[in-house]
Amino acid sequence: MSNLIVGFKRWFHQWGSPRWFYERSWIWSKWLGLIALLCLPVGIVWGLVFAPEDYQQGNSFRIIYLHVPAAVLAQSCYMIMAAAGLVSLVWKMKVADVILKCAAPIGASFCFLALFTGAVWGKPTWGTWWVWDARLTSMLILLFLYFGIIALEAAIQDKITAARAAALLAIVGVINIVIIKKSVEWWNTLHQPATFKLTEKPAMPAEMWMPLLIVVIGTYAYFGYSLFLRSRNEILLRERRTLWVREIVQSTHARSSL
Amino acid sequence: MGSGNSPVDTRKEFIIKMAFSSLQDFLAMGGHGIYVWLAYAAGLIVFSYNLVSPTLAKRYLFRRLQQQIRREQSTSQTPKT
Repeated sequence: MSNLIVGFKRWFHQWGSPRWFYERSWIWSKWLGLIALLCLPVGIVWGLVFAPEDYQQGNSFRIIYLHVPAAVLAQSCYMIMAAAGLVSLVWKMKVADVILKCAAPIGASFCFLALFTGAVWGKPTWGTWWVWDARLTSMLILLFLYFGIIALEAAIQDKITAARAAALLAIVGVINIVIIKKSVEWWNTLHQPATFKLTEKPAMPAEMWMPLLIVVIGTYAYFGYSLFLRSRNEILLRERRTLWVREIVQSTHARSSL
Repeated sequence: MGSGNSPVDTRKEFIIKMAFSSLQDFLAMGGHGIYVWLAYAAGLIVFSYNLVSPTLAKRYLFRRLQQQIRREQSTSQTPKT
């Protein structure tokens, strides 16, 4: 039992080491990149070309293969940032600060994509680009929360203060994720309920939801890949005075390092 | 439209066949082409941004740090010679 605790402590301690994270994340990001490279083309082509058209919406429903993955990811990314913020506040872990900072622009871009594809989908389906209903408005607030975190990180020079401010905003903003999730149940809305639920079978046929699931998996993997690319850069920048970073920088040619 | 699926799926078999008979058909998306392709263009931009931006940042960072190290080495060596 005490062995287990020691093992856990060591594992947890490793996460606090930027160097350990930098060395390990290279392998993780390779696997994630591979999954994304497989899933995204397969799922998108399947969804665009092979999935049957919707009996009500025709072919405009194919926007779902971008809209749902982007929306799901924008929310998950925020939860990851809030968790990183909590870890950063409680244990002062450097890697958590880096994750929180580097996830923000990715989450913002996918939140924008969810809103944009939603508007483009809404026009032929609801007859309008935008309505101020609960789901759409709370997603817009999520985008502004992302902008807020990016702005805090950019405006505050001191890394520790910036991380603390961003962590607080990320944690407080979790309430908005709850509102997004519940918005289609609590208020009358044009927006349809969730496609995937843990407790029920999807309402759409398998030919439609299988490609969607594949794109969702691919998008998560792509997010992880992109997050590791960004965090690895950020770690090198923050640790640039240390010997191990200097050795990496010196032993790599700027070109071949890609 | 019309030949699509009812909301409650009762079929047992799993069918994979092309939903379009020609390329023009595919591009037109049953009259919704502009919406579908606008959405997918945005998707392409967002996915590319998340790959290109960190890759360029990495190249820039390595160049900057290498220059910095070279500068430090040259200044620390000059007093000795």
